[in-house]
Amino acid sequence: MKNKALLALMEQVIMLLVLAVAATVCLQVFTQAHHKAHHNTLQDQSLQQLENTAQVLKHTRGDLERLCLELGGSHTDGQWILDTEAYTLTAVLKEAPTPLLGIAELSAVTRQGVISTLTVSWQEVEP
Amino acid sequence: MKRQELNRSVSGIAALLMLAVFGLGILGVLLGGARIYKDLTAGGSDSYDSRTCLQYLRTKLNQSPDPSQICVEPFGEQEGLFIRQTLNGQTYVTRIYCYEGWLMELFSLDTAGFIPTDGEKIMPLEGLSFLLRENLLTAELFCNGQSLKLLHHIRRGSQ
Repeated sequence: MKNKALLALMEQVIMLLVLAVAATVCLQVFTQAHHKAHHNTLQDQSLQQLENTAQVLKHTRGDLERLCLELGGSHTDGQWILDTEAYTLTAVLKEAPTPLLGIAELSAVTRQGVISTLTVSWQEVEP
Repeated sequence: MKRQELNRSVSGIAALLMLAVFGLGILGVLLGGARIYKDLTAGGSDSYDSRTCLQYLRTKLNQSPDPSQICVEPFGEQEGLFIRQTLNGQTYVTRIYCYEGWLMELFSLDTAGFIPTDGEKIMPLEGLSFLLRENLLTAELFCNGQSLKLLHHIRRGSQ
């Protein structure tokens, strides 16, 4: 009788251990899914903001001062930066291979790294 | 005898406790998983709505045959985005506006006297406003309780 009770108890302990392992695996998967969904949402939002930035750059023909007036942020040495809660948007003016062509590289960066990038070009006006 | 009975009772209670812990554990994992799944699908759905709405507007603006014919005009009680084009010598207009909680599109002859209820429902949208200033179109959308902004540079004339 004693042995039977002991066996039953051991069975239940093993059952709990198996449950603990399965629960750990499940929780790990759920956490990864949650992080992935959060990353995707950030990517969507940042891309929308980068598209808006690209349109304003086309409108201002690469004038970072006017870009700051329109969207906020600050600029130095051909680079524009805007800090948001979740990520940092940057726009860097590049040398174009063709005359009268303006190019900028836009990116959204978090602590984990770059989440989205976009390249924009516009026609410069001959002075 | 009494001791044996006591031991049996203790073992029984221990077994029941283990079972209860097991049951609670399974319930906890299931509820946690269900909550996370619900949050994921809700977030995905909201993301889809806002992304689709913005991309729809942007595509309409990018695909307009004559960017110089894009303007913002009153339509009903609100303002709408008017995209005009000439087909077979006649001027047609695509009106994009928000009416009774829906993003609406109405394509017709420019001279036709349609009203906002005649448009086609595209997707649910809480609010939409347009501002056109120096060839920079700003559209503000209210979707799923959040405010979204779309900026679009309209190429005109000699640009």
